[in-house]
Amino acid sequence: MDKLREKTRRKNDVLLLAMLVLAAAVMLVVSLLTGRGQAAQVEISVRYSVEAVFPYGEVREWKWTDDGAYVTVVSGESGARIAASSCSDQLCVHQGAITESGHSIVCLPNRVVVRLISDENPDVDAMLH
Amino acid sequence: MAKKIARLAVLIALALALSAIERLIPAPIAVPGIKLGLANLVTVLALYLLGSREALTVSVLRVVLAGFLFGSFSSILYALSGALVSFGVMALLKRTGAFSVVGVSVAGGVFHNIAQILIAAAIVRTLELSYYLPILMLSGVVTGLFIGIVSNLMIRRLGPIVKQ
Repeated sequence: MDKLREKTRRKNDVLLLAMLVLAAAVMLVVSLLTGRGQAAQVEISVRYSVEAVFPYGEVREWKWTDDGAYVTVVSGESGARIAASSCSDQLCVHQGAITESGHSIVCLPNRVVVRLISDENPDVDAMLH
Repeated sequence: MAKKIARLAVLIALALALSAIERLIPAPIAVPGIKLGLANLVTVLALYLLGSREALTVSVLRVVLAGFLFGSFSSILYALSGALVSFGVMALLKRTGAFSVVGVSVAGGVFHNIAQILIAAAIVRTLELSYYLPILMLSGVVTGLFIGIVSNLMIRRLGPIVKQ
């Protein structure tokens, strides 16, 4: 009896695994297909409001400071990245550069989001000035 | 009672050690709290060896302690959301009796990551983060598998001892 239960469980495990992998694959395909075109602009938001928008590819350095906290964004032909940040985990700095539209770097402790957007799909999420 | 506390303490200590080791492996993705999730091993062990209440205790305590030791206050929030959802899913699946330790562990690993991304996305109000979902789901599966297999072995050997 126990052997049967063991077998059924194994089978269910495999089904679960397959479903999860399938779901992930589907999401991956969907995100790839709805590719948003060439990165046209770099958009930087701090605490939910857009602070800077400039053309992607231009060599730029953008700094934000607030009472000891700081984030430095460097953008150029090889992508946009967070060059320095006051956050303790430094995940945003380690991520490196983003080069494609739709990608983003987030510094969660400082609530800074660096996004690449394209002209084709003006994102509904973006706040326009 | 003292035995119970001692057991929970050992598990939590193990979780902290695993968390410490994990931090040596850099995360390629800038979503806070995204690690391999090795410490989930402890939650799975507690769930199968001791019970759901103990597993919840271990889970919450190891997240809070790891946060104090290694991270920041806000990191605890993210890690806690992942751990709680992960625990909930695992406890639920275990109760159905339809899955083995490995299956439960895989689900735990995956939902741990899903929850963390969703919380992070909600806080910065950036749906873009969901772009990371596929990768993190897959990594959750892999880690879950590994933890599940190891847990399975440990539960078989420790089970009889714990029952004493």
